[in-house]
Amino acid sequence: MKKLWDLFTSVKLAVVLLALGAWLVFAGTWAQTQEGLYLAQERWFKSLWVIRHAGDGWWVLPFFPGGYTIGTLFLVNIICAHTRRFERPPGGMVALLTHYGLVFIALWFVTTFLLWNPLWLFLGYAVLMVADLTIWQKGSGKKVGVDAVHLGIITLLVGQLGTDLLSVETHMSFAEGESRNYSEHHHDSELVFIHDDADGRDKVVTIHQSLLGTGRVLVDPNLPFTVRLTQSAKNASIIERKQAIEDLGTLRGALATMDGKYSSPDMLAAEAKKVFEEGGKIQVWRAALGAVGEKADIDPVPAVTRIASDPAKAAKLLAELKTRFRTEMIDAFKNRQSADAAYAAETLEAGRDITDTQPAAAGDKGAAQRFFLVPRPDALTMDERNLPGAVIELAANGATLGTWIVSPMLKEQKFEFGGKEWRFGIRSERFYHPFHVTLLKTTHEKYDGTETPKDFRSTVHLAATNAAENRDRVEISMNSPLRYSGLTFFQHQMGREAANTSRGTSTLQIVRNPGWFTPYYGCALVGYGMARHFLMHMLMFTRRRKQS
Amino acid sequence: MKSRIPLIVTVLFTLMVGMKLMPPKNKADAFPTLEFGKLPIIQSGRTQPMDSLARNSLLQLRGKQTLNTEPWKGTFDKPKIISAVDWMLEVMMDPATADTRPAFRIDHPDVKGLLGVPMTADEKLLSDGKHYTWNQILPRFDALQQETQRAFRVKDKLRDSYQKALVDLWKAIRSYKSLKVTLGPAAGGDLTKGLEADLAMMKKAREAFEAQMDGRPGDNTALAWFSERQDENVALVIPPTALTNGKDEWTRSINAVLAVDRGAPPNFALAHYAKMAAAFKAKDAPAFTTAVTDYSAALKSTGLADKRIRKASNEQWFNFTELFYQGMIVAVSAFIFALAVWFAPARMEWARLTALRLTVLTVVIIFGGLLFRIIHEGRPPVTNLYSSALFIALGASVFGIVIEFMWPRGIGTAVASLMAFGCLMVAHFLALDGDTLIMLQAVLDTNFWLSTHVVIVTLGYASTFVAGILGIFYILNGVFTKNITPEMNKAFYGAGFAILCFAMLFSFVGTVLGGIWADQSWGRFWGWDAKENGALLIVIWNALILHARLGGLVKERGFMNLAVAGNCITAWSWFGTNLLGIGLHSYGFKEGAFNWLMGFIAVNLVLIGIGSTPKESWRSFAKAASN
Repeated sequence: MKKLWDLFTSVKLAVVLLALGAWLVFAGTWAQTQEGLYLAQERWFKSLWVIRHAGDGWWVLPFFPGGYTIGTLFLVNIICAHTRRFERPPGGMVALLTHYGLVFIALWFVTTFLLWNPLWLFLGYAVLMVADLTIWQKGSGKKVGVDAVHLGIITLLVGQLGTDLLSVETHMSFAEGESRNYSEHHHDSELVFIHDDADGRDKVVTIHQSLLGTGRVLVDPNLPFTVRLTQSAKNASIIERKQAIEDLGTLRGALATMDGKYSSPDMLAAEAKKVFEEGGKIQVWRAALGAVGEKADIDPVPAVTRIASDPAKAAKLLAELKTRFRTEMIDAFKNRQSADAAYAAETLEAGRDITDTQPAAAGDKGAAQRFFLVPRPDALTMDERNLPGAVIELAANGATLGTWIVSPMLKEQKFEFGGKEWRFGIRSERFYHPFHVTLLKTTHEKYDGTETPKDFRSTVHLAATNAAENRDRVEISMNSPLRYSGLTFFQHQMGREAANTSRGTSTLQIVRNPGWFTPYYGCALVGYGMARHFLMHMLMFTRRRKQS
Repeated sequence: MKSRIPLIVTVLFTLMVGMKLMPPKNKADAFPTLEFGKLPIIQSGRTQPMDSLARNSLLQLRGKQTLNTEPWKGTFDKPKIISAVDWMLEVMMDPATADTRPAFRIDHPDVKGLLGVPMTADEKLLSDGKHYTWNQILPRFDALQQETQRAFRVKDKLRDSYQKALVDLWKAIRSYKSLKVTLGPAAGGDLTKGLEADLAMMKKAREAFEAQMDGRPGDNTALAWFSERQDENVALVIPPTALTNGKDEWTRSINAVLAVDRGAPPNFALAHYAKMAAAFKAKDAPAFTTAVTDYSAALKSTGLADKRIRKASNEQWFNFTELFYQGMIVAVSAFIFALAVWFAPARMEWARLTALRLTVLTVVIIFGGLLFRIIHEGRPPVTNLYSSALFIALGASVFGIVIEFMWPRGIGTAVASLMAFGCLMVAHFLALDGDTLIMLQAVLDTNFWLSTHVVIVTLGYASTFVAGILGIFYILNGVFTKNITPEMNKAFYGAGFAILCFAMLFSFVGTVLGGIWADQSWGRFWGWDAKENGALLIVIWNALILHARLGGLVKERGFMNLAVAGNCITAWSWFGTNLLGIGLHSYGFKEGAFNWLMGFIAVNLVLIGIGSTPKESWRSFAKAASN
């Protein structure tokens, strides 16, 4: 026990934790190149430990403590160390507590009330510092600085944990003139069933994506039917069968033409010449030449002519060219913007086929007749998001109503049940607010004669549903958000409507973060504490120099 | 006598810099192009002189601000070298000659192969194997275009060196073509003829456009002709004659043609530029001077361009002072004097003082240069990677000088001058990218955060580097010399600790202010973005050093080794995170920079290796340890 106490109160532990923290931050940054920002954050910083998987980069050790572990140990270490090193002050506890109380509370007040006036904020801190150091000269509170720093670190760590757990980021997209009373989640989606109520308003039943597991049967008192998930994927492509069959045909045709082209060694030299002179896939040629053991020169023609006269080598070169061009073509198909083309290319690679019956139809109703679902790995980068997909079978009173396919890529589908029309589909998870925001105007200024953005600005009208608030012409721009009812509205993106380019569109990011103030106070504590500590040392240093 | 050396040397260097501050003059025998270089235009969204346009274009083409017209000649054969403006005048007004100038630098052998240009230096072919003329590129332009289109389809981080070379060359070509069309109908020297031709082309382009809209085949060359003149890269040279919506809107020459097409008289600038072009073609220097002077007067008389004229003229002067280059020379001289001190500390007080004065001169120069940029841009000192290097040079040398005053042993000046020189060098290489006064994206357009977060975090870099360089000097002196006497030891350790405390403070406050800025503009305090993490790493590392010292885990030597490791971390944070090409701060990706960064880190690691040898093998401590 004593040993454990020694360990947790030691500076050594702090140094070890700092070293571990440094490596975690370094490796976690490298990991973003492979895993993407979002996943890397979850795996490295918002986790208890990190374990190496196959295919990880050099920066991943077999086992490493995650952000939460290191952070917690830090907290324990700081608190234990301070408890152990606490000394009864010479001036008595009352003087000490008064001094500490003065500094920490005054810091809180200065930070809270002067936050938006940098000059006054700075002056406030300066006045506090002078008072603090004057009292120190009189004999109490030698450790205020260090204690403030560590209290600040605690505030920051706890605050970050709170933000991780409590904050919700959503966004609100609209075009000029449009109004919204809801915002949408960045990553999460929901399955919704909607029907018109008697009073003419939509009744919405939502099911969060986390509940959409394959094989589950969902029952909701507000739904007169059950929902069985015959297939479900966190991220999926929706493939249009007809288009995919057509794309597969196109790709096969192109490959056949290419195969024909590279079937005889007679054409090699002529083709190489053409490629070199008119510009073609010279790199493919060079790589293929390299593979058959020819030095890939700037001008490939002499090398190709040499090879063409040697049947064995020529055959090898032809084979190399074929495989390489085949890969190029298949890759080109995969990189097309169309999911259908990508699927066709994958199917071809896997040696499978797409027909009217293969893969089997997902369901018998609505879009399921034309589309089927292909699960995909999780999206990695910041600008991609998971598009969940599912095949659902609806049933009531033991009888099936049919099987549908749902995805955010598909429009809302409809069906009749119990004399009502139900609409349903997957969409981004919505958060309804007790206010309406109307986009009045978007401003998108650019520097003279360039496309470099100079100013993004949305002018909005904000009206609370209960009429308690009615703000007109609120400006939200980069670096100047709007704060209202515990939410902060940031200017996120800006664009033009595709159908009518004279109409501006805007996306606001809306964040609810109850702990938003903790970093401000934490930083004030640490910054103040450090400045105070170093100033105190400097005063002592100069005094000592003067004396000697 | 020795006591006079510091003063004499400092005066000499001050004179050297002072000479450069004189406004530039035309050489007696050369074409009077300085006045032309002063003319204001708008490019990349900002007012600048023709001189800057010429320099930045040439930088993009060949990585230098001058043009060697006979690169196949050795340095001692006196090849003819012309200034950027001289070259640009040719491109704009006498393109036939410009097309024969070896202005394009091409290094990649496959690109040379593609273009079929001489691969190696060959005096008979008038080629140095690196620089090529437009006429050499033109025959295989279609092939180049095809290959480049393919390269553009690859995401920029995934491009191989061949594809990158293609893309770079393509951008250079785009710049070159843009310069050629900048003056529009005035370029030929005869405005009436020029306008006639342009209006005819415009008509064709209009027809082609309508045809395209109707789905009929149109005249693509006419459309290309038009879009080439509308390119974002083409400078705005046509001044306004009246305010539009309260703004003085400058336009490209093609807009002036459009205005004529709509029935307005040609903008006055066109006629002046045409006169300049005619004089230039006729090699008539006096007529050229008159044309430029007339245009300046006409521009002034509109009353709408005073500010831009002044700005352009100031910037041209600043371009000619080459202030940061001067700073580099002074800094390296200061460093040499500072090193001399260490060979015989007792007898070299004069060298120490000389070094100190020169370092102060360096600070004055860098400060002056930064001050010009601040006033010129109306921005805080650090706005991009380039200016961060300048600011680190300034911050680090000030810290070094303060250390010198507190511990007058020649340590502070050595650190200061080396840091100033190194960072100015880094800035010099960063400047090869082109315009260093580039406008800021919307999210960065906030002087408040630029002057707090960016400045303080940059000071954090500077002070951490100062601690690290101190560490290097300590290790080198300790291991290889007997310089580290107990007294020196105390000075080094004291200075190292003091600067590290500041480093801790600056890097923490700077990092946190960055978080608050992010909270203000994106709604999250901390997003684990690469650059944020880099800054956090510096904070963690500095905290680690201070705690290791506090806990008695390290003494002087360990402390210094950790401080040297701080160099690696700071360098990574400064450049490496940009090189990863991820996150919000991934601006300024440079291929060569990666190798330099790795080299710098490797050197520091070797030094740590040396510094980790046991105390007995340190010459300074050998006797003490064996006792």
